[in-house]
Amino acid sequence: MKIRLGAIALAAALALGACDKKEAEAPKPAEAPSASVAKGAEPGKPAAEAPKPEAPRETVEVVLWHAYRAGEKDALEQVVADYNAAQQEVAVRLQAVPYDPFVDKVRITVPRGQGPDLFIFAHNMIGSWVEEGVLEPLSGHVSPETLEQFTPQSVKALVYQQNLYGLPLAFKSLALFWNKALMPEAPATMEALLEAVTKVQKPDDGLHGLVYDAGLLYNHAVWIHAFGGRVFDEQHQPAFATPEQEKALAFAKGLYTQHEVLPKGMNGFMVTSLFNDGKAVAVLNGPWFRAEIKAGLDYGVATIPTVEGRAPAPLLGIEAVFVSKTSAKKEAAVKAALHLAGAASAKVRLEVGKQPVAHAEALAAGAAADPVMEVFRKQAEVAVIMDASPEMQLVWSAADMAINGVIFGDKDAKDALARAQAKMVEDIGKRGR
Amino acid sequence: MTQSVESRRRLGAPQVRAAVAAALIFAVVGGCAVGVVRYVAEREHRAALLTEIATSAEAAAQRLAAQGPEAVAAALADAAAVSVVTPGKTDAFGISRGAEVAVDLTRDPRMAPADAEAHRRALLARNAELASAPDAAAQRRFEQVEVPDALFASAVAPAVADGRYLGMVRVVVELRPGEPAISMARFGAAVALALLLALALLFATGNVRLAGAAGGAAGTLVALGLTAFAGWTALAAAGAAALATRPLAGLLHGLRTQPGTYLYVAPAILSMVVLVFIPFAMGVGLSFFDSRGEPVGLANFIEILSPPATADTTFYWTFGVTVLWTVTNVVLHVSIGLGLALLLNRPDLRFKGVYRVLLIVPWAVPNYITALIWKWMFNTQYGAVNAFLALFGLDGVDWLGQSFATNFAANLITNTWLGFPFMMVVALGALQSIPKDLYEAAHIDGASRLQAFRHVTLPLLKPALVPAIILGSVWTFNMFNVIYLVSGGGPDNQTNILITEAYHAFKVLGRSGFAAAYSLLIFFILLAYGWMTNRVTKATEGAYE
Repeated sequence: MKIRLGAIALAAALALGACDKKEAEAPKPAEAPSASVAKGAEPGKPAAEAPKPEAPRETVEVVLWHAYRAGEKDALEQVVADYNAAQQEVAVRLQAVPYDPFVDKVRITVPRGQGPDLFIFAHNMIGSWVEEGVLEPLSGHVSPETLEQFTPQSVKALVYQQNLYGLPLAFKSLALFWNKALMPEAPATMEALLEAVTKVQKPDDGLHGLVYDAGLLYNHAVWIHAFGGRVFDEQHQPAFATPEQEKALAFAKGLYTQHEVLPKGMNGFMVTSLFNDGKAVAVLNGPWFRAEIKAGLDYGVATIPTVEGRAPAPLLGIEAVFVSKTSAKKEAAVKAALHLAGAASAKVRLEVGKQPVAHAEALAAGAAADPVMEVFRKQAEVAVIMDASPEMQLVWSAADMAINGVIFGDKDAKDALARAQAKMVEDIGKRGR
Repeated sequence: MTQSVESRRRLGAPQVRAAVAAALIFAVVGGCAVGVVRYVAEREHRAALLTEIATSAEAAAQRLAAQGPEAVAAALADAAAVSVVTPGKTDAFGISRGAEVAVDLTRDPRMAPADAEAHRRALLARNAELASAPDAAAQRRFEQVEVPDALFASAVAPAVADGRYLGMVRVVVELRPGEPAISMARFGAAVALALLLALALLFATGNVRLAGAAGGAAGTLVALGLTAFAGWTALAAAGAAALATRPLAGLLHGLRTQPGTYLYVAPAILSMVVLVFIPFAMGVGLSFFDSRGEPVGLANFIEILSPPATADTTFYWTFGVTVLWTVTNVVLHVSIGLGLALLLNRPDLRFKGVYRVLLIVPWAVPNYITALIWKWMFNTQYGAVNAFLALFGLDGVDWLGQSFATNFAANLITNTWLGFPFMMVVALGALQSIPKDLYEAAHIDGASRLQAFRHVTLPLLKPALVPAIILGSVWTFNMFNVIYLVSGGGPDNQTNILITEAYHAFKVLGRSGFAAAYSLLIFFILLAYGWMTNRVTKATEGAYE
């Protein structure tokens, strides 16, 4: 209640400060937010439409947390600097927060009203965050028309229990990267790819055909979807003890034992270093990998080749900007969020940060200029949106364990999947107890 | 103050102190009991109220389905506020659109929404959640709203007919606190009674413990009104009073005679209370609740001790691994540390300082950095360990793969590297404090070097080594960093030790109460271990005599 009172006091102060914008405030509250917000979405001329007040308007400062590094960070800094310079209503203050503790920091600070007003993160935590009272639903703040500027998938990923919980910035999913010096072209089918890399690779000398951390559900999901399997069924129960999942595991195990293209004991760092050292013909990796490839290495990017005629589907993660439920400056925060997701920002993030952005027009323009961006766009079209429910958090480790044990150990696939399934159901049943 | 000095003279100071101590103990135990009774009563009162609110909201939702919004508002005449929201439709993205707040009545002015627009948005957002999963029982959830001097609770209920969602009803009702189960006046009277009874018994029998126990028991029984619960707490109070009256009386005596001393230790005690005892007490409390805050009694402990069939590893397996882990580590730490200390203690050794510094390095580097470095060194294909084995023509080992033995060995090697310098430093210090003439005497008596080690060195090392071993075992028992960072519990959580299992329960499963119960079990295991070793070795006495 205290917080709410604070919000009102602030809103009142805002209203006093911005009394010239009457048409957006009091009389028709039902339509006000979306109207004022739609205005903010036009990044070029945010405050230009309202007549300039005589006295300088009070600038509202909103704090934005993000975990970006390198190019993406530069792009975001540029976007924010441009935004702050272009208008006086809202000033965004950026705070970089390390990725690993990000989720915990948000979960601890925001419900107590101490966190940021805005933050940028992947969409897969939405379910847990809604439960914990972290996220402000944006359905009432953002008009349906505004959402049409984004790719439909990216908006759908941010909808949880029929509420919209963020504005999409970028999408990330795996694709196939290959070393052109070792293999000039990537075949369109997995069967042909395996044949091609087997000819080139020399596992005994540490040159491997297809490199990725096969023991992770995030990566293995590519094959689960290729064989018609899925993570959750219609009743939102884990769907691991299925024949499709067995087939996917048999295929991935074949990569290791039969084709010997897959090395074991991989992790993100090693995939990068093997690829940069010319010790990997092809790797499965995401858009972030582009910044990690060493300069001068000639590589190609393609959608993941088909398996038995079916397109493998990686998991799709949406990076979005979220508004804190306890923020005292929600109006300003939503305005800033709309700008961050908008066209001008998307252009900078795509060009400077090399982000596959969720803004459809900016993405189309970027994909026309950059063939790699076009590949990510096409890959995203077949990708499966990562589940964002709290239950998903209980699936990862049990699934990783089964996948690892089957591919690299001597576990029976059917048995391991049944065990994993039972464990997930049990853990989900005990959630919160 | 002067009056109390006089009365002390008349009554005899020790008796008064004992009576005051007994009354204090009673006040603490009885106070806790009164607190529990009041908490439970208030909780039950509130649960009943909330159920009532939920039922009325659900009844109203049924009325909404049958008769429409206006009928709902009229039926809920007692509620502080009533809202009815009509269902919307989902758009192409799956977002609920077009829902309307059909009724929004606020009868109690204290519940008037301060920001009408925010209030409307919140209602529509909740409506969307309900529309996505209209199961009243699963969605039963209360929001409490605090205004000055009052507490309100709200409940929402979905209206569903023939599987179709027809809207939502929200009811807000004031939560009036129930009558306190035990009044403070009754509690104060009970404290006075305990004091009087204890004093009377002291003068009659002169037995401090008996007086304390009887006073505590009688006082608690009176305070709690002779219920079964009072019987148990009176027993606890009597026990506490019998055990602690004498020491507490001593403390009171000390406080009067040398207040300065207590003033000096007060900061240390205060920081211990804030940083150790309070968190510990909260952890103990937490273990009797689930992570939603519902009391579950001993269910967490029972679940740990009789694990479900789907668990990858049971408590007993993990406990066995932890014991194996601790024993192998400590044996290696002590033998390597002691061996190196004996080597470094040779008077004719040159560059001793250099060796000592080098051997302490593993200890000086933060252990998570060491653990991460070792994890990389154990990599099957590119790790230094397998490269080293290859020098001798040995096959590479898949250290962190699917075998328990190699994962355990990797953890063990890492922690041995981390642990031996401490034992070496302790042993070296102790070795250097052994007087040389003892060895001369042994030599003159014709003892061999081995005999001198066995009968002179070892006994004199014991007072320093035994506490170090106890400390080392406790550290190793709870060596989270190495297990978590090197093997990560793999394969299948088999190399997890108790503390990493507790972390898993807290962090991955999100079950704070369960994790707290785990931690409490670890504490009791270590307490029993420390107590046993102390009894067996009399280590601490040896060290200080």
